[in-house]
Amino acid sequence: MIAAHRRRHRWMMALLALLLPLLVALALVARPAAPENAALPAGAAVFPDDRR
Amino acid sequence: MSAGYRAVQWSPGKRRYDGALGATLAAYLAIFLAVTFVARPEITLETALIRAFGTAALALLHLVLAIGPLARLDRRFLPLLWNRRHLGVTMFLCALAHGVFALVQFHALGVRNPLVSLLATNRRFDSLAQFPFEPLGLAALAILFLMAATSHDFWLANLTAPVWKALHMGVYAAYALVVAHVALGALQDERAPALVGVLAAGLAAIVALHLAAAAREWRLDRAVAAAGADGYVACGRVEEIAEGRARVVTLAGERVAVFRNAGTISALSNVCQHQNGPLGEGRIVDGCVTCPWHGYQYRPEDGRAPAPFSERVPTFRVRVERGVILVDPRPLPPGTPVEPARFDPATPAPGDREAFFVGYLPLPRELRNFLTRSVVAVGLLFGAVAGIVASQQSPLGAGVYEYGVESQLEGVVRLEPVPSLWTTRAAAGAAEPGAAEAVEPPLEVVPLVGAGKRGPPPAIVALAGRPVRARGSWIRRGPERLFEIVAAEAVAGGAASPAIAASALGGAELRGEIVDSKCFLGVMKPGEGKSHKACAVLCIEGGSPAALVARTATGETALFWLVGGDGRPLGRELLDVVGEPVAVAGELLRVGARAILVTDRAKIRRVEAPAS
Repeated sequence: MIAAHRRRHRWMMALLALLLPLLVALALVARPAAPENAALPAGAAVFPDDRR
Repeated sequence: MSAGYRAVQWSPGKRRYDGALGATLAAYLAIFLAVTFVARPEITLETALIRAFGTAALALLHLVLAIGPLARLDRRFLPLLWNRRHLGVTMFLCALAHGVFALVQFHALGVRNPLVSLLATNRRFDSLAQFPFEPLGLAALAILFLMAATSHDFWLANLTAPVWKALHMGVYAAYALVVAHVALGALQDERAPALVGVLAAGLAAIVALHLAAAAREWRLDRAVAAAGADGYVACGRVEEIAEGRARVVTLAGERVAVFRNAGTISALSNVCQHQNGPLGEGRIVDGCVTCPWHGYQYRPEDGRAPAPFSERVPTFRVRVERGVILVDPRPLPPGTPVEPARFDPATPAPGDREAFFVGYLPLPRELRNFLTRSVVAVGLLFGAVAGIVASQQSPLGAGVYEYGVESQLEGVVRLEPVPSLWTTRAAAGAAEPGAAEAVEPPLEVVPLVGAGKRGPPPAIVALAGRPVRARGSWIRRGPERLFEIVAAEAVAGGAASPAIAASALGGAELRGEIVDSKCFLGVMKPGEGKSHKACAVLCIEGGSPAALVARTATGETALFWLVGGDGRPLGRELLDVVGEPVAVAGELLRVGARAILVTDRAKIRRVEAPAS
């Protein structure tokens, strides 16, 4: 029945409308900070971060 | 059969549609690649193509998803819906190109089957930040493939409309998987707020359009009239319906289209048997109810498609009393003839100025102007998205891979601490500017790798301890260098392996990421991060030396080659922590120009503190 189909469609849309933004937000919040060191050991071959 | 009807096939309208689609896609790819190579000249062509096709596919997917609700909200968008399947197939092809390039780039040429690598390398289901994103993309691609493969009406007829429609509702599952693929993949490495903004804006637009269309449809469903004593429901007055048009009413949970046609009133199901299009929003053309989506036709008096077509829709009994239309809400079986209700032909009708589009008829001028403006707007939007996304990509590092440039190197093959050639600095070439030349010993340790995602080939390993003349290509980044060895021959009468003392630098715990040295130093762009994780695992598993990249907040970077307590390079023991933020404790040594960190798996721990 089309009415049932539309109801299923709307429930699916509602789920996506709720879950997808939540997933994106969680994924962004969960991103780990780039690990950094206070200093690098003497004797290491140090070079500037070439990603900046 | 109406003389004006023909099956949907190639037509000038479809050619124009596909022409606009092709031009928009070509412009998107051109703008994306041009901006990429200007903003990130260090990028490799493979990475640029992966990103160009991936973002193009996602942009097209948004367009595909937007057309449905747009057409519900404003019927002038119906011509875009008419040929939407071509959009969908094009979007799938872009996604396929993205997937194939990525599979070859990150998962091929290793010790595993590429698909096994894609599906099984990352098993970090316990972490959102490290969650395997590649299988999500593969699952989305599989759904899109099924849809593209069944997009022809041949499959619609054979699967039946309800099954076909259910299959094609999978586009929403594919969209969810793609959003997850991007959020848990690229956006874990790319930190530019604009990229998050573009994804969020697209998601918000799709959600908003669907909510608006759903609200409109919900209002239509709620407008239910009460039944009379005989069960018939009043559905308005004749003079409220334009000639050749319909009023859509909801009866017993289903929508019914009540058509006015040449002094008669007929009622049939609002649902087209082709793709559930809204018949009530169509017109009477050549005596047949014509669906506004793809032009399927049904006779109003019995709900049957004209010969040779066999589609049928349910009909409803109808009568007119004193100008009021009364409909029996109990549907009759599809194709049941029903005598139309007659009314006074002098009954006035409202004007109807809305342009009606059917694919096999010429496009009305009013619609052509509107659609031209819409297509131009979409093109400009795509161009803006391409420019923004391309310009916001993170820098990829200045590593250089001298692919195709053959160099020679002489030295002694050593397997510890890492497979390498011990050679003099003069033979290895001048050090990079800024390197600590004053303290470097005369001998240099040049780590070796083989072709693809492999360590040095067995033929080279067999020459351990012997002086050789090697051919291959350099890979270098900052003061670090690597030699991709192709072949080597023993040098007769060469010097024995020179001794070089390892200088102890003390214990340390360093934070950083474990990478495979080959990709990080220049072969792959990017050669670190989550998007490169699977490739790094493959490379280390294949024998590429593992190293820890450590950085400070002020931007200093250093590479530490990872070696076990037995003096041999660490490899398979590290696979579960490759490509993740880690803290590694161990003893630091300096061997030649290389900094070595002697450690073991037990001294490596994950560091996953969120950035916020």
